[in-house]
Formats: sequence, structure tokens, C-alpha cells
Amino acid sequence: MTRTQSRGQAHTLEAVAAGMLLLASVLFALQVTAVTPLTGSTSSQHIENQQASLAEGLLATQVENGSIVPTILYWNESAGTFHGTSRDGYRNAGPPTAFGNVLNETFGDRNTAYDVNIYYVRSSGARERISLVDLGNPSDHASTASRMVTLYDDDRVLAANESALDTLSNTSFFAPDAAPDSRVYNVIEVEVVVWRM
Amino acid sequence: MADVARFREGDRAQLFLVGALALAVIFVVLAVLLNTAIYTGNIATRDAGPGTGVVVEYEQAATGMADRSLRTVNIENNSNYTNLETTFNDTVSIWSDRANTHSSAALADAHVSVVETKRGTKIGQNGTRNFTDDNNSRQWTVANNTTARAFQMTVEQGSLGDDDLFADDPEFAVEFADGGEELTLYIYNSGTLTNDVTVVLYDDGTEVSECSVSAGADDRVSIDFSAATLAGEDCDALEELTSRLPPQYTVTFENGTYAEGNYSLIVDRPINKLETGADDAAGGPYAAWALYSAELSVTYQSSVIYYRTNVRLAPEELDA
Repeated sequence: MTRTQSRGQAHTLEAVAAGMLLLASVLFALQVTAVTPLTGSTSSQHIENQQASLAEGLLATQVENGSIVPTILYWNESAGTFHGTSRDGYRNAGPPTAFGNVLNETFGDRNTAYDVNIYYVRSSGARERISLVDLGNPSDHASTASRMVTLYDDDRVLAANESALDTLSNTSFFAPDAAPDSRVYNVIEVEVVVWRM
Repeated sequence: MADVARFREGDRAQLFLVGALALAVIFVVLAVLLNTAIYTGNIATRDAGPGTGVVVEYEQAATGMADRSLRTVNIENNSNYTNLETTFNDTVSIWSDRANTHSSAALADAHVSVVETKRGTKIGQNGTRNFTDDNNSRQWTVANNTTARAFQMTVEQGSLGDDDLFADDPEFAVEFADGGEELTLYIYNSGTLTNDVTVVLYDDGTEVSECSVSAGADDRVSIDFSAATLAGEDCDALEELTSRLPPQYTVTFENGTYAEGNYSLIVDRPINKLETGADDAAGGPYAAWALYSAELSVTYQSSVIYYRTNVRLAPEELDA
């Protein structure tokens, strides 16, 4: 009689322990698969930081080697758009210039979408935007980087084959001469927005 | 006997389960601790720092603009110093205003202004002519007690003297002297066989180094004292020259009849205080109003950064 009761207690304990063991294992499994900084995801902070650095580095090198200004000047005066595109800017890839190639090679090949916005100033001090590349609406986890470049009165608008045409002061360019009394034509901010597709 | 054995089996099962339970608890505690560390790491890397990169970018954009303005202001509007200074100051202040529109959008206040500009003189010869002064003197002072920037020269190989230094047929030379030390750069045609133009540097009469290059199809060779290049290639003699230059020196052309071409340089002495063989006469070398250098004050202020610095600009300065 005593022996049967003792075994019953042991079995109850066994069941409780097994239940807790199961629960603990589930908890354990959940805990060890938490989101770590290295977890691949479209919303990882590390990826955002990395993309921001990538965009900043790209802009820094392109300002240094002078490929951004020719892309801004790649303007079709008669159509009032950049060469070979609509009013919304390039919608499938970067512009067909050196800067556009670098954008495509840096972001296009890495499944990263990007927009390039150009901000310019009116002589009244208003800041306006024109889209150079528009690959869609950025996600909530997009990173941005921007750089300022200066256009001068004697900079020349480029033809579709990148040969120089008239100077900025003699063309109908998207940005007005924000400083008519000086050799500076306008100060442009180029903004690159990148996000994971 | 069999009963005793059964009792012991039940007892052992209990101990085994209690042990397993304890192990499971330990594992969970370990996992929680591990994740706390990982999560802390994740949070710590979330802040990308105070963002001082934007300040560096702003300073670069501002100095880039001022550098270009300083180079071009001497080409246009060089009728007197006041005009030059007004043009340069206006350009910098308008740029500062327009650029501040962009900075304001990033919730920062950024300004650049001119602290001071240094008046200088641009000396040069545009058309092809020998390197004598306005009175055709072959040895003449280009600029006295000064420093120079943007010093470029293009010479025609056929006009240069040959390579027996100090002989009857002398070589054209540019001399930089400060009273004590004398740096002389001879430029000559090193022979009909090699078809080279050679540049050799002497420091107080001792040869330091030389370099040669063959003239282009147009028989001309460009010498860039600021970049230390001969026809676009690095030149040891010119590099040695810029590294040995005293703080102030007098630039003299010797044997100016043994070189033809053009040249230009900007010196840091105002035109009315400069001793030079160049005057504004047509055809010969000229001297014109120019700005030598500028000092800018760059300020950048946001909620997390306050940065202020003074930057001195003297594009293509020789001993820089």
C-alpha cells in the first residue's frame, strides 16, 4: 500500500517536472533566436547604418572626382527634364552618366533601392526639390546622405552626348540664378535616399 | 527482494527529473543573460555618433568654393584691389547665405565669412616672347622679397640654351634668393640626340637634382612650379626646389634671351610696393592687381555640434 502511494507521488512529480522542462525548453528556444545585431532583416539598425555610410562614401568620392556636377548639368533645355526622362526623373536606374553608373554599381547590384533628390535655392531663399532618380517611395527604414555642390555662372549645360552647350546664365535651367550679383549660380544639395527592397 | 528493487527504481526516477529541471532552469538563465548582452550591443550601435561628418562636408564645400573664387577673381575684374576684394567678399557671403538654406533644413546654422584677404600682384606674359623684361634686359627681378603661388611656365625647346652649363651659350635660369641662400633652376635643351628639355636645381652652386622630359609635338614643355611637374610628370628638381624655399625670396630671371614662351605667377606683395621688371606695356611682361591669399572663418552650429575654425587659402602656393 505504502509502496503504491510512493510511486504515485513520484509519477506526479515526474509529470510536473516534464511539463516544466518542456516549457523551459520552449522559452530557451525562443530566447536564443532573438533578433541580434547580425540578424538579416530589412529593418536592422546595422544595415541602416551601413547603407547610410555607403551613401555618404559614395557622395564624398563623387564630389571629389567631380562627377556630380556634370550629372546635374545633364539637362534637356527644350524638354525641361533631364536627358531621356520624364518630369519625375529617372525611374528605372541611375542617369546615363558617370555618377549614374556608380549609383547603379553600388546600389543596383545589391538589391538596394535609391532615390536621388536635388534641392536648389531661389533668390528669395526658398528651397525647392527636383527628382533626379525616383525608384519608388522609400520605406520607413531608409537612410539618407547629402552633400552640397556649387554651380557657377560659367558652368555649361550638357547635351545628351555630354558635350558642353550654353552657360547656365544663358539657358532655362531648373534652378534659377540665386546669386545674380556674383559668380555663384546656385548652391545645390544632392540627397541620396537608400533602402532595402 | 523484487519489491525492494522496484522501490529503488522509483526513487531514482525522481532524482533524475529534479536534476533535469535544475539544468533546464540554468540554461534559461544563461540564455536570458546572453540575450541581455546582445540587446545592449544592439542598442549601443544604434546611435551613429554626433554626426561631425556634416561639419567636415560643409567646411570642404565652403573652402572649395572660396578656392575657386580666389583663382578666378584674378582673371576677371582686376582693375584695382577694391574691386577684387568686393567681388571675392560678395561671392563668399552670397554662397554662405544660399548654403545656409540647406543647412537650416538639417536644423543647423552654418556660415562662412572672409576674415581678411592679402593683396598681391599677378605677373605674367601671355603671348610667346623671350623671357626678358620690358626693356629687353636678360637679367631682371621678377618680384622682390615675396612668396609666390600659381607659378606656371611654358617654354619652347628650340629657344633654350644647350647643356654646357656656364659656357658661352648660357642657359635660362630662374633664381630664388633670400640674400643668403640661392636656389637656381636652370632650364636647357639637353641635346639634339635625346630631344629632351632638362631642368636642374643648384643650391648655392651645388647641383641638387635634375629631371628631363622630351618636348611634345608642338615643341613646347610646361613647367608647373606649384605642382612640381615637368610636362605633367613629377620632377625631383622642382620638388626639391619647393621644399628648400626660404619663407621669403626674390625671384630673378637670368639669361632671359635663352627661353621663349609664356609664364604667370602671383606674388604676395602689393603692386605699388613691388620691385619688378614687368610693367603694363603691351607685348612684354605685365603686372596686375591680384589677391594672393584669403583667410575664412567657418562656423557650424547644431543642437549637438558647435564648430568654428579659420582657414587660410592660397591656391597652388609654392612652399605649401
